[in-house]
Amino acid sequence: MSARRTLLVAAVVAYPFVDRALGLQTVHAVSDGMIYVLLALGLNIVVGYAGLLDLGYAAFFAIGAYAMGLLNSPVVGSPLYGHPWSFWLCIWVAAAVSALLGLVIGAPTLRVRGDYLAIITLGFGEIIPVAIRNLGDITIEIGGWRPIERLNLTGGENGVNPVGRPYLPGVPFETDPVPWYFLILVIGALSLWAMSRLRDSRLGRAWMAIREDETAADCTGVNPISTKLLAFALGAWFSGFAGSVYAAKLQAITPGAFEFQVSIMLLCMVVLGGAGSLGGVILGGMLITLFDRVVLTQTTSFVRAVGRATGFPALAAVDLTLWRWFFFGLGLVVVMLVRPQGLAGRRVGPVAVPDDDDEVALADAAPAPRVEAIPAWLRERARPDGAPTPAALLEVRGLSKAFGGVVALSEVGLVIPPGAIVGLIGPNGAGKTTFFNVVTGLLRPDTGRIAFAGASLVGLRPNAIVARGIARTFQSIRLFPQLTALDNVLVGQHCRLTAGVAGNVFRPPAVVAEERRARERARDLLAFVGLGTKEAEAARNLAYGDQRRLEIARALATEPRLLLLDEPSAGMNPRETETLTELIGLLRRELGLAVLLIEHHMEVVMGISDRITVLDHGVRIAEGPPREIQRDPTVIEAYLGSGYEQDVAVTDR
Amino acid sequence: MRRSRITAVTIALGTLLALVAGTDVGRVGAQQCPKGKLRLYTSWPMQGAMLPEGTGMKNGVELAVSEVNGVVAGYCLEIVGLDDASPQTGKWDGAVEAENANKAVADPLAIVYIGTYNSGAAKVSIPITNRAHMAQVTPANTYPGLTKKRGAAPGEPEIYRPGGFVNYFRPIPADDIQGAVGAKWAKRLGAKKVYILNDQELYGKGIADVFEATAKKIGLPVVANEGMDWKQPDQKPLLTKIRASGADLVYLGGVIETGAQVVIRQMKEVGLTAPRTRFMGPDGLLEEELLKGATCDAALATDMRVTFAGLPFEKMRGIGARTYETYKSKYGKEPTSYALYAAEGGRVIVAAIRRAAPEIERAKDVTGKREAVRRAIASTKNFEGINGKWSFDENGDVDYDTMSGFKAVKADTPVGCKFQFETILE
Amino acid sequence: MTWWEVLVQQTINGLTRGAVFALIALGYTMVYGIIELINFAHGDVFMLGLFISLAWFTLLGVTRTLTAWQLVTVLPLVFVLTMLSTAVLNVAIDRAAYRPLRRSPRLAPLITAIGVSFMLENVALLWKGPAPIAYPDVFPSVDILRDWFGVDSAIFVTTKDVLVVAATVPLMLALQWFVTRTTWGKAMRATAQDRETAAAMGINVERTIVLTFFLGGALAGAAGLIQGMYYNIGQWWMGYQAGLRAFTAAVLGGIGNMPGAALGGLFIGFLSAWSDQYISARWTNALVFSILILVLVFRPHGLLGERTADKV
Repeated sequence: MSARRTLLVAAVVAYPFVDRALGLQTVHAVSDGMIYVLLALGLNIVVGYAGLLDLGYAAFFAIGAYAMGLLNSPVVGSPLYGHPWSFWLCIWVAAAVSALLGLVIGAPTLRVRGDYLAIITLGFGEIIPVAIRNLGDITIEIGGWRPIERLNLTGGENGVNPVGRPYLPGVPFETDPVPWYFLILVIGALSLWAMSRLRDSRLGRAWMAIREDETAADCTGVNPISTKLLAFALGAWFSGFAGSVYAAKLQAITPGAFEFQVSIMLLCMVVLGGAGSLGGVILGGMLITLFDRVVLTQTTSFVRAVGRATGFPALAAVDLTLWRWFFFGLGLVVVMLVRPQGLAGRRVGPVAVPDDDDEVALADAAPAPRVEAIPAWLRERARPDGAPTPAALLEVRGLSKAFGGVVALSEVGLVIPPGAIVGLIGPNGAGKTTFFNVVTGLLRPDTGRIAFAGASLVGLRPNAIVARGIARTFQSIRLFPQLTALDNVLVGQHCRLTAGVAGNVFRPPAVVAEERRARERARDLLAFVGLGTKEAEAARNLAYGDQRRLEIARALATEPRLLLLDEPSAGMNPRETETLTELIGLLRRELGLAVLLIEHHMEVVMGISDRITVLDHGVRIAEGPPREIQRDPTVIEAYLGSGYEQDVAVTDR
Repeated sequence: MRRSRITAVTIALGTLLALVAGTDVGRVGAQQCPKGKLRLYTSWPMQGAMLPEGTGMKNGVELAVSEVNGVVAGYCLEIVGLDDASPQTGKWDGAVEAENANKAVADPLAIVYIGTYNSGAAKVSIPITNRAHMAQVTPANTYPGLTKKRGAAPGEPEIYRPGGFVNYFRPIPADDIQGAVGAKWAKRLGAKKVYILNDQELYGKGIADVFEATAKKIGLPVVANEGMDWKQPDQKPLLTKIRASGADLVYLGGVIETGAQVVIRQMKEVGLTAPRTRFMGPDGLLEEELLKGATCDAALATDMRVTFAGLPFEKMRGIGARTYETYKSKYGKEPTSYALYAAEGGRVIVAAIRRAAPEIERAKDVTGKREAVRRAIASTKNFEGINGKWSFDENGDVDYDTMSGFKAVKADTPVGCKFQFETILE
Repeated sequence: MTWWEVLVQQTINGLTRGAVFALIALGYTMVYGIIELINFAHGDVFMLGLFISLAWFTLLGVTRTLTAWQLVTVLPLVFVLTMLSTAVLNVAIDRAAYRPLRRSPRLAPLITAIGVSFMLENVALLWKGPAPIAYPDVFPSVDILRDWFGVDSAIFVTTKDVLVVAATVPLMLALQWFVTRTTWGKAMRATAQDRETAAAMGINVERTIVLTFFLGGALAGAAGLIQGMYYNIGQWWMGYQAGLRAFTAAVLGGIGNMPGAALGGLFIGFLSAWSDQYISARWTNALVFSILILVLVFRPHGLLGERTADKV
C-alpha cells in the first residue's frame, strides 16, 4: 500500500470526526453523495465497461429502495419489519431483486442495439415510477365483480415510511449520521473492490470487447447476449445495494425520487468523471452531488460578501441559487469541451501513422516466424486427441444465400480436409466474404449444410462456432481498438476459460491459475507473431501490419482447428506479405491447423494453398489444385483475365 | 500523475466542505442575549414556482420574531432558513428534507423546527425531530395522517412518533376537514355528478380521496377519482373524457406546481364551462399565480371555486386583521396563502419559549431544553390566533375547523380577476 | 356524447397532440441521422420557441386575437421570425457545444447536450419565472361545425385544430421535398449515410451539419409557436417532457428516418389520447413506453427504420 493511499484511507476514516469537531454537519450530505456515487459506479459497469447507453438506471435504484421498503416497513404489513437483523437480510434481497430486474430489462438486448437499446432502458425508467405510483391503489373490475379493490402494494404516492433501520449492537443508527457514513463507506469500498476485480477479469475484458466491437467480440468467442445481460444484472445489483441503504437511511421513499432526472444525473456523473474509470466516476459523482448541495449555496454568500466588501450593490444582492441550473449546465459543457474523455478518463492519443519508408522499423516490426517460437501449449492443443480424424474437417454442401433479390451464394460446396490450406478466390463481389460470414454464423444460410468435424453449424451463434474450433480474421481489421494488444489476445482466450462472476470476484486458486495460464499463453502468442514487445500498446496505435498479425494472434488464442483468413495480406508490403505466408505455412506444418484463405495476392494463394475454390457471382466455377486452377479456361475467362499469365510466371520462377 | 491530480481535487473538495459553516443565518436586530442564542430552523421549498410562497412563509416567521425584537426571556432567536427542494426536480426532495432535519437536530442551538410545506416532506422529517425531542411546527401541512387516524394510511400517525410522544404541531386545520367540507359545498352548490382528478401527489391524492369518500356518503355521485400526468401540457383527452361522462363539477386535488393551470385553461377549450360544468379545488390552488397561468377568462368561465382552511385574511378580526395589516405594511405586498400561518406558528413558538424559559435554563442538556419547549407548545391553550381562540388537542391539531370558500371574480387588478371570499364553511 | 363521438373527438385530440410531437421529432431525427447525437437540448429549443414567438407577438403589438387581415400578414411574419430565431439559436448551440466534440467519444456531446438543456431551461426560468405563462389567444377559436356549418354536434372541431394540421403538414412536406429534391438535401442524406465518403465526394460536411441544425431549430420554433397558440400555456420545463416524447416518437419511427418521425409522433399522439380515454390517464405513460418497447423488440429498427447491415 502506497503512502498516498494510506493517507487517503486515513482522511476518509477521520473525516466524520473532523467534521464533528468543527461542527460542520456535512456528514449527511456526504453520505447521501456516497450513495449516488455507488449508483454511478453501478451504472459505470453498463455504460463505461459494456458501452451500453442506459437512460433509465434510476429504475434499479427504485427497485432496490422499494425492495427494502416493502420487506422492512410496518406500513404495508411487511414480513420482516421489527426483526433486528432484517436490514442485513433485506439488503441482499434488494440487490438480488434489482439484478433480476436487470435481466428483464436487459432481455430486449437480445435483439436491439445501440441507441435503440438506450430508448428501451429509458422506457423502463419511465414505466417503473408510474407503476410504483399506481400500484398503491389497484382496483380490478370485471363486469361489476371486483376481485381486487383498492389494494395497496407499494404505498402509492405516499411512498413507504418508515423503513426499518439496520441493527448492530451498540451502534446508534437512529440518531447519529456517523454510523451511516461508515456503513455506506464499507458497502461502497466492498463494491469498489468487487468492481475493480470484475474489470480485470475474463468478464471485464468481455464487456470491453463488446463495447469496442460487438461483432468482432462475437466472432472471437464472446457471447454478447450473456455478457450484456451480466452487465445489466451486475450494474443493477450494486444499485440494489445503494437503493436499499438509501431507503433505510432516509426512512422514507416516494416514487418521485426515482424519475428520469435521476438517471440523467447519474449518467452525467459517469461521463463527467470518465466512463470506465472507477476513480473518475467517484470524482464525478462527488463533484455533482456536492455542487448543488454545497457549492452553489455557499457561493452566493461568498459573492454577496465580496459585493459588500467592494461596494458593488449588484454583487451584494445576487442570488446564485436562481442560476444553479445554468451554472450546472455550463459546468457540464465546459468540462466536456476541455476533457471530452472525462476528468479522469484516459486521453485517447492520436492514431500513430505507420511510416512506410522506415525500413529499419519494418524489419523490426516483422520478424520472420520461427518454428521454436510456436507456443508449446498450442502444439499440445493441436495434436489429434486420438479420436478418428474425419475425412473432412469442414464440409459445406449446397450453400445458398440471397439478400433481397441479389443472390450472393448459390449452391456452393467446399470441403476442407484436416490440416489443409484452401484458397477461396474470385473477383470482387463474388461472395467470398459472404461465404465466411455464413460459415462463422454471422449470416444464416437460406439453404445448405455446413458440417464441422461432423456436426452441423447451421443456426449456431458466431461465438458458439468459435468455441467449436473455427476462428477468423476480418477483411478490414476489427480489433478492439482501445484495448491493449495483450487484452485483445486475452479476449481470444475467453471461450477457453471458465471463471464465472463469483470466481472473478473472489478469485479462488483455480481461477488465479487459469488467469495466469491465459496470460502466459497470450504473451506466447504475441511473441510468436512478433509483437512480444508491444503487449501494452493500445491496438489502435499499432502499425498496420502489426494489427494484421495481432488479429491472427487473437484468432489463434481461441485455440482453433480451422482458421479463416479474410485477405490477410491486404495492404501489406511485399516483405510483410512474405512473413505472413511463412507464418501460415508454419501453422499448418507444425500444428496441423486447417486454413481457409481469401486472398487477392496470387503469389500467396497459389504458393501455399493445397486446393483452390473459385467463386464468381455466388457460383463455384472451379475447384482444384493451384496448377489446375491457373490453367482453367473458365477461371481465366471469368476472373483472371489476360494479365494473369505474367503473374503466374513470377510465381513459377 | 493522474492519481495525484485526483488527490488534489479531493483535497480541494475537502477544503470547500470545511468552508461550509451554517447556512443563511438571518439575525433580527442587534440585541443583548444574556442567556444565549436559540435557533429556529425553517425548511420548505425556496425555488421554482414555490419561491413566492416560500418567501411569504419565511416573512411570516420573521414577523413573529421581530414582534419581540428577536429576544424572548433573555434568549436571542435566530432563524436559519433551509430549502428542501432539489434543483434536479425543482420540487421538495426527501433526501434534502432529511438532511435539513438532521442538520437542525445536530445543531446544539436549534430549539424548534418550522416546516414543512409539503406533507410528504413532513413524513420524512417528523421522525427525525421526534427522536431528538424537538418540536416541529408546520405552517402548511394539511395531510391528515401526520397527526390523526381519520383519513390516514395504516400505522399513521404512530409511525411518525418513534419516541411515543407528540412533537409535531399544526396551527391549521387538516385536509380531512377540507376535503369533506369541499364535498358538502359542492352539493350545496347544486352539483349532481362529480369527476375528481388528482395530481398523484400526497396532498392532492389525499384530499381527493377524502372528497370522494364524503361525496359518496352524502349522496353526491362520483364518476371517478383519476390520477393525471401533470407534466403533460395537453390535458384535452382527459378533459374530453370528463365531458363525455356528463359530470357537472370537476374537483382537482392538486397544487399550483402540478399543472392546475393547464386543466382550468383547457377546460374552457373543450367546452367544460359553467353552467354545464364547474370547477372546484382545495387551498393548494388559492394562489394568484394560478389565475395568471390559467387566465381569468378560463377561471371565470369555469365558475372556479376554492376551499381554504381558516378564514380569508380580509375577513379576519382582531389579531388576524392586525397581523394582516402589519404584514402588508412591512413587506409591501399581500401575504401568500400560508404566510400568516407561519407567523401564527412563530408566535406559538415565541410564547412557548417564554413560558418554558425557567425549564430551559434548568435543563442539563440540549435534549432537555428542546423537551421543555416541546411540552410548552403542546400545552398551548386558548391561544389568541388569527382565526380566533384555539387550543392544540392531544394530536397536535388545532381544535377549530373554520373553513372558507372562495370564488374567482372579475377584479380591477393587474391580473384582471381575484379570489373573493364567498362563504364560511363548517 | 355517444361512443363514436367520443372516439372521433379523442382521435382529433390525438392528431393535434401527435402533430406537435412530430414536428419536434423531425428535428431530433435529422440531427441524429447526421451526427448520431441524441440532442437533449432540442426540446428546450422548442420551449424557447414558444416564448420567443410570444416575444415577437408582443413586439409587434399583438396581445389579443388576430383579425383576419393580421392572420395573413402578422402570423406568417411571426412564423418566419420565430423559426429564424430558433434556427439561429440551434446553430449557435451546435457551434459552441457540439462542433468541438465531433471526434470525441460518443457520450461527450450527449453530456454537453444535457448541459445546454439545463442552461436553456434556466434562461427561460429567469426570463419568464417559474409559474406557467398564459399564452394569449392570438389565434381565433371558432367552433367550425356549429358556427360555420350550423351542425349541432357534440364534437368540437375548432379553427385551432385546423391550424395545427394546416401548419404542420405543409412544413413536413416542404422538408421532405427539400431533403429529397434539392442539392442541399442530397448533401444532407449523403452526409448522414457516410460522412467520410460524403466529404471525399466534395460535400462540405460542416456546412451540411449547420444546415441540419438550422432546419431542426426552425421546425422546433414552429412547433413552439403552434403549441403556444393551440394550448395557450407555456412553462420553462416543458421542453424536457416534450423532448422526451418527441425523441421517443423519433425512435419509434426509426431514428434518422423523417417520415418515420412524423409517423411516430402521430402514433404516440393517438395512443396517448386513446389511453387517456379508454384506460386511465395515470397509466398512459406506462402504456406508451410499453408499446414502444414491444415495437422495438419486434422491429429493432423502428417502424420505418432500415435494417443497417453490419459491414464485415
